[in-house]
Amino acid sequence: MKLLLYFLPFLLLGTCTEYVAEPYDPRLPIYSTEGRNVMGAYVNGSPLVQIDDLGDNLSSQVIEDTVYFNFGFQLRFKFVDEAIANATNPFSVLEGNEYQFNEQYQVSLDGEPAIEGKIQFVDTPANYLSGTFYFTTENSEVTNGRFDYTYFEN
Amino acid sequence: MRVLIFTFLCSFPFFCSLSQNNAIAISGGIGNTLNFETISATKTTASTGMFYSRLFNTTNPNLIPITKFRVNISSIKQELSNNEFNEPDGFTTRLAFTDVLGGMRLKLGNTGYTHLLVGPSLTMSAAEQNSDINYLRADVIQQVSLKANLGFGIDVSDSVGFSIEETINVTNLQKPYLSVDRTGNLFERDGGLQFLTSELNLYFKF
Repeated sequence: MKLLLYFLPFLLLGTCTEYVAEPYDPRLPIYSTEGRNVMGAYVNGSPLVQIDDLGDNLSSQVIEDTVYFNFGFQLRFKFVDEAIANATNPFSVLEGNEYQFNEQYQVSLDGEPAIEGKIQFVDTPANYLSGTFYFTTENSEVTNGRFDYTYFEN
Repeated sequence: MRVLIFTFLCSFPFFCSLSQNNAIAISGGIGNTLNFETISATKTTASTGMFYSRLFNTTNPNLIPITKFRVNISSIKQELSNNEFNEPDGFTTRLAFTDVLGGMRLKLGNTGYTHLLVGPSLTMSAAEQNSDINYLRADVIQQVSLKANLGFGIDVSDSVGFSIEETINVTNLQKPYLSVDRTGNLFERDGGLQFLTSELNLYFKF
């Protein structure tokens, strides 16, 4: 079994972790594409923010053709794509694309899978993975989602 | 899509004025604010605690210099509006410290009994916004207001009279920036913190 393992705690030394608030509602971080290692969204109207100030709140993992993202313990993304297994940089496969959540592209909130929704990755010039997301689960609605973090290749 | 939102702000300011020539003048005022909002969230704002001071005078009887110091405490409630830009309920408190409000009022048609007040003024303010009881950011708002004033007054004598003045403020509080709407789409938010303000002030001198 070919195993590519990227276990990436974010916010290592020298990375940017400054929390910049959205002016309209400072409870959420501003949308950015600068690798700030932060994500934010409303969960049923309440803000959910993960700031990777200790390097363990945001993480990613690549195993064969699957990329996992964990935003804390609550938000977990899983993307399955053959291109991921063949890519030199699996994360670059995602950049610039929008995915509807389904069996291939999944997200869960506290273990509840998304019923519908989407995630959009923007093109960034560096090793940043930034974008927006929105989805609903059986009991929750996650809106206004934004994420911006720095990844490292092994 | 941009939706124009009118926000009605009713303020009940308290004025205490000092005039060098006339010893003490008392000004009263009531103001309202129209908030032109380009995102479809409805806000209501209330402000209190305005302090008006006429600190200096001029030898030209046709010019009225006015300096105003104001502490404006506002609360903004975000309400649900529509499905496209549906923001959650929440309260935002804004503490605005108006450092300088200066301007000259030119008295037109000054017959000794009646006059018109015309003149622009500029306000520079620093403010903080608080949407969480433990959350303050000093760099959220730094506003500049350009004001146009038009008033009418009656001078019973040199030391007794009153003026009523309408002030239109155009305030830029925040540059446009990219934000994320409810369903994860990017949009440029440029109107959430821009204000067109109308104030009606009534000045007495005696």
